[in-house]
Amino acid sequence: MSGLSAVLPFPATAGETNRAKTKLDHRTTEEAALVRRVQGHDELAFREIVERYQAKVFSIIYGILRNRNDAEDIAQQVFAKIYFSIKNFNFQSSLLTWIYKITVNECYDYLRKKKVRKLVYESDFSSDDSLRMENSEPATDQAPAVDQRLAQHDLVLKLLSKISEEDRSLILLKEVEGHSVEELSEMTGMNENTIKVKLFRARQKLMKAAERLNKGPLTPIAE
Amino acid sequence: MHGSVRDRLESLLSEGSSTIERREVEEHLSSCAECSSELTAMKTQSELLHSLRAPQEVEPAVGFYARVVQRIEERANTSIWSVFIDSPFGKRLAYASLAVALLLGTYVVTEESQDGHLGGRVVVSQNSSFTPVIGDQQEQRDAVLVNFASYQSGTGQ
Repeated sequence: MSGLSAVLPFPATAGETNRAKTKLDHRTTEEAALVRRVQGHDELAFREIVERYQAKVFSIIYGILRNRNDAEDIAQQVFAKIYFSIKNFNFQSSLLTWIYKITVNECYDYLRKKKVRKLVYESDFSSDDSLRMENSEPATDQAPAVDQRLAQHDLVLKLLSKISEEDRSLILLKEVEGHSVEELSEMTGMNENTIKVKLFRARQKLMKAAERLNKGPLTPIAE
Repeated sequence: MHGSVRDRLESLLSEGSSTIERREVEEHLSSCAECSSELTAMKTQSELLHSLRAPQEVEPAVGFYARVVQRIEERANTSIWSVFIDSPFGKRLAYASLAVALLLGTYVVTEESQDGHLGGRVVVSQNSSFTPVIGDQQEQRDAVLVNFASYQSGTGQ
């Protein structure tokens, strides 16, 4: 892996420069008006935020923990946290980016506190895979694939715990939520070049973390 | 990783690169083993990260907002002591305070046992203008008052 590439910034293109000039001002959006209403203790506005983002938050948590009960509990915790800390929201990023960061952090706090990684395997297995396995081919054919997939899920969670909160949110927004660099730039208020550099460094850190965990080279997920 | 690949990495990983870009990268990869292996590893990593996508659309059960409000009310009514009991930082702070208190206590006890009982005698012996407390009750009272009035701390006078 090239050490130089981790230090040198990416060259900005003319298109990026133009886009940076016209970047979205998060203080003037409809979402910002909603946030200001919540900051002014408008309960209806808070309810609107909950209803607007509850499915998103629930999906993020379920994707990480694969357990509905945990997802419900942590989603409640996330919105309680939003309620108490929205006064500190500074409109530097989109509300979704801020909520996303809180959600992922809550998931990692939960994993840290409960040390539930083994339970994650079991809950995942019981909720989705067990049904699929019961209704289809013999279990012996699918069990190794399921085990491998769950082990890889656990490995990804472990690797992500080794990088900073900011890097973690950014790489998840890119890889899990499927946002483009341009969208991430709009959401976070950072220019595209900065996003690319941060993503590249985060990917390198994940590779190094995988090497340190002695897991050997990463292998693709079994279908 | 060389610049020509690194600059296009995100679009390559999300399959959003143009045909021209892909051809340029492939040309480079055919002659650069380092970039080729690193790009392969990053593609694998990207696939692994996709495993965190929720397998299907999931929504909380009906009445979620009411449960959130209940959670907020519970949190708002939480006692100040729960900050120390519940949070890891609070626990660490409590343990650190306990350790400091124990250390200070040990120090004080050690000092007391070494010279704690000599303190009073040393103070009196340092006072050279010490008046012997003898005679009747009135004289003894006067002598004590004179000793107090003429006492000077640590001067040896």
